[in-house]
Amino acid sequence: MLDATQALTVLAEVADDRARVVLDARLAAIADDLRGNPWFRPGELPDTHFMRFVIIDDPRGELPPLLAWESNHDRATDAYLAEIARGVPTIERVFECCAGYPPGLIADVDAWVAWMKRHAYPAGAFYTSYRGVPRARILNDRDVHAAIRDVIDGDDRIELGGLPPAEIQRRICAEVKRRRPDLDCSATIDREAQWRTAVLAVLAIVALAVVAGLIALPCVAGAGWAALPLALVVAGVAGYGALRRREATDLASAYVRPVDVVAAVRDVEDQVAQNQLTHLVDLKPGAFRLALLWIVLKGINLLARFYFVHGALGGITAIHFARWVILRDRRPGVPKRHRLLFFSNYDGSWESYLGEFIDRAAAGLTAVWSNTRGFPATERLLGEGARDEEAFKQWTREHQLATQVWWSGVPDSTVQNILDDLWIRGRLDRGLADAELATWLRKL
Amino acid sequence: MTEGITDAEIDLPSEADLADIQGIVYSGWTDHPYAGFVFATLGPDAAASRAWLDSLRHSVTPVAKRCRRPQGRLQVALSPSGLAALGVPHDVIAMMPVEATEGMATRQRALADSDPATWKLGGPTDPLDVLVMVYARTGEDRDAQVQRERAALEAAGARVVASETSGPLVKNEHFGFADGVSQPFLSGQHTRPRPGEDRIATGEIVLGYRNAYGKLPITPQWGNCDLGRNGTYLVFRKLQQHVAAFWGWVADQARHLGGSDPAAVDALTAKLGAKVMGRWISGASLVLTPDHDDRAFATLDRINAFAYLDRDADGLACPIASHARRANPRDARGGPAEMSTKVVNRHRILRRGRSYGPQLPYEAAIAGRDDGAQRGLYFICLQASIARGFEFIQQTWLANPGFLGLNGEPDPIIGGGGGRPAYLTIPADPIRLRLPNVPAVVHNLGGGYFFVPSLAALERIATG
Repeated sequence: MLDATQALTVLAEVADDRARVVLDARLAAIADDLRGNPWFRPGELPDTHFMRFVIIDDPRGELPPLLAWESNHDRATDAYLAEIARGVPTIERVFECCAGYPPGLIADVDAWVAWMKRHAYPAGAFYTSYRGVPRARILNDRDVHAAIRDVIDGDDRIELGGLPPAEIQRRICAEVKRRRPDLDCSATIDREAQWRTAVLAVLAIVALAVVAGLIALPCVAGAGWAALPLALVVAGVAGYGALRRREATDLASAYVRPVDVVAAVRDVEDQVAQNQLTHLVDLKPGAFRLALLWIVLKGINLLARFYFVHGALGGITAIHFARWVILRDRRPGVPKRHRLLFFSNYDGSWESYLGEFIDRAAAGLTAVWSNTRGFPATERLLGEGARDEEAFKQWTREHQLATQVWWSGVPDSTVQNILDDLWIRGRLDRGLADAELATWLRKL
Repeated sequence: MTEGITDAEIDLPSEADLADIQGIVYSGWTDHPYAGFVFATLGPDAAASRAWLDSLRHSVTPVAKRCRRPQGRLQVALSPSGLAALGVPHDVIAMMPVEATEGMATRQRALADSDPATWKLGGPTDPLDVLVMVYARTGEDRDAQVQRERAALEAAGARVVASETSGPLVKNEHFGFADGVSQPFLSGQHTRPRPGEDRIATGEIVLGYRNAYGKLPITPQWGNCDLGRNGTYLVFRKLQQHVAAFWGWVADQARHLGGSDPAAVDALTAKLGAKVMGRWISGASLVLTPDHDDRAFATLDRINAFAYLDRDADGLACPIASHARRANPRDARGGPAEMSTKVVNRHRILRRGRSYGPQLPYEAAIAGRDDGAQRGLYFICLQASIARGFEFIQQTWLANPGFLGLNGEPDPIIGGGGGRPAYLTIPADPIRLRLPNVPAVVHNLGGGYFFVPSLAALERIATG
């Protein structure tokens, strides 16, 4: 459950202006015909859920343009990249436009994997609604559900309807297996509930142990250690004070007119079932905000990894994969800057996605983005901020980037579809208690 | 969860405001059964257009009863291109929301619309600058009013693009169902909401008041004048209804399922029709009366007095995919009931639609016999944000084939179908029914996005 589904983010500088022209043209050709273009076809990638290429231009013009590759893939990154090098070397047509990329590198699998990993940035926080579920499993379960639908849509429905529920389930199962012997219908046992309880218990014990340790420390290790808990409290109070002072003086962007939405951004939005968002904004200057953001992202990452395992990030049910990546840019002659990059692959419209953010997850998002420039004014890190609906939407629009190439490996399925398919397939071929069986039948 | 504004904090328009806000915000003028909608493109002479508006504005009906004439109602709406033609500076217009300035024809994909190039109204060659809406007690009065407004526009150098007429008003839309049943309650004129009517923040509909988030939205400012205050945004869509295609398909499904007994097939046809619409013909909710239509549940006090989650979470009575349930998911949008209701109420609109064309008799409809007549609905709605109101409802709840875990099921009435085979799942025990090949029964013939200025803003615009 914990090891699969990796967030790979590769960032490399575009070599020069000439390479930029070539790269723009190639990415446009790829986006124009994802399946048939002569350069690189994302559908050939192994075990990939979603991927995108984005060219990141610095609005201030201080930093060189970057090519970003986002991939959400199964298995370990090394093995994944090696398989790409062997099976889909056409991906080089994209990366050969980057600075320091040796021509023909991909022929040397190990060297290519090493180059890619050198340019890979860790995600500050990574979230998925179905962590650890391989793409092959998602596609299989989608087909199992479709096969079940076919069985009960047929003329057998009326006859089936007269049978006891367990017998209906048995017959559906037998018929699906007969019609589609190629599909995997094996049952799964759901451990998510126990898992969550266990994680909460462990967290509670650790927290208690830390507190108890701090209290007990002076008694055990001598009075001198009494300074440690005291120092922590002082540091906490000081940090809080520093935050409140900054919140009082930070500049929030004021919007007196709506932000124009760039056509390139709008053109790739409002797809049928799924959508994407690329967002990049500078951090507020100084080490305090960087440190605070790092801590917040770590916290969200922990929650995403161990608590919001299946389904909903703080009540948002529409996110397939999302990640935040902190870019630390150090260039000679340019003041030190940090930027926060956000990629999301979600269901439905931009308006509904932003609405869910604001309505259901404002605290978490405010904790993250309040450390970046122009964000609507906040209170105590979590308060206000994203709750200012219009300002938050305008601010998001202001910093949104056009995504040149975006590809989904499960294009017609919503998060809810995927979770339902998994749940239904996992219960097709095993006995269920009456209540669960009734729910199972209603979900078909 | 973002709590937003409480009922006690809702801003109330003052007496002066009610004399400033156009009357359609608080009334559909149902006491005036005949309506006319005149669309025009303004001429190049901005001064002439302003003179036209300056004369017209004295006839515009505000909310306040004391300012109304005994009969005859008139409202006016201007699109951003109309404001420009009247001489409102571009940087003022640019303060309007992006979707309003870009217009409905640019939102085809989001709205699952027909190609705007094929529109009969508001297509690329016919920019709709002005919409004058007249309401009358008789057809003759309506026609005279329409003629008067057309002549005034033409005298000012405008080109009248279309005059659409409606009336007499009937309670049921063309598919036969009671229409305009579920509306939010706007504080300010009526004392209290009816049971099941949700009170929403004034700013959800009228600009210049705090919205559901407790905030004032950006509005166009012209010098010292807030053009937005006491105004609202209006969506107009001419929706053609294919009544025989709808009932013919429903009756086919009923015959397929119901066997040979004609009475049983008739009853099943009515029931399936209600399952598709999400309400019975009378307007009664399927949640309150799951098996047959019952007018006792269609009274004003009971028609909206229901929720989905506790009695019908799985949609066994009212299918999750049905039109009424997705247009207003109430407490069943996801999460706890209270949270869902709160979130859903951030996407409410006031509907002011009227039907056009002759009714098709039910017998012809269920036989699938079309008479070839043009009929449909002038869909009209009001909201402070078109993106968060109409567009959100259309895109996220109605046209979305993956709404609330559905798969390949856009709204069966106005989801557009998107060119793919569309299904409709009707939950049932022990096995749900899934109807295939849901036909596209509503076709958008065009329309546009408009701004409905206050009377004071009209005066400011007319002054130039």
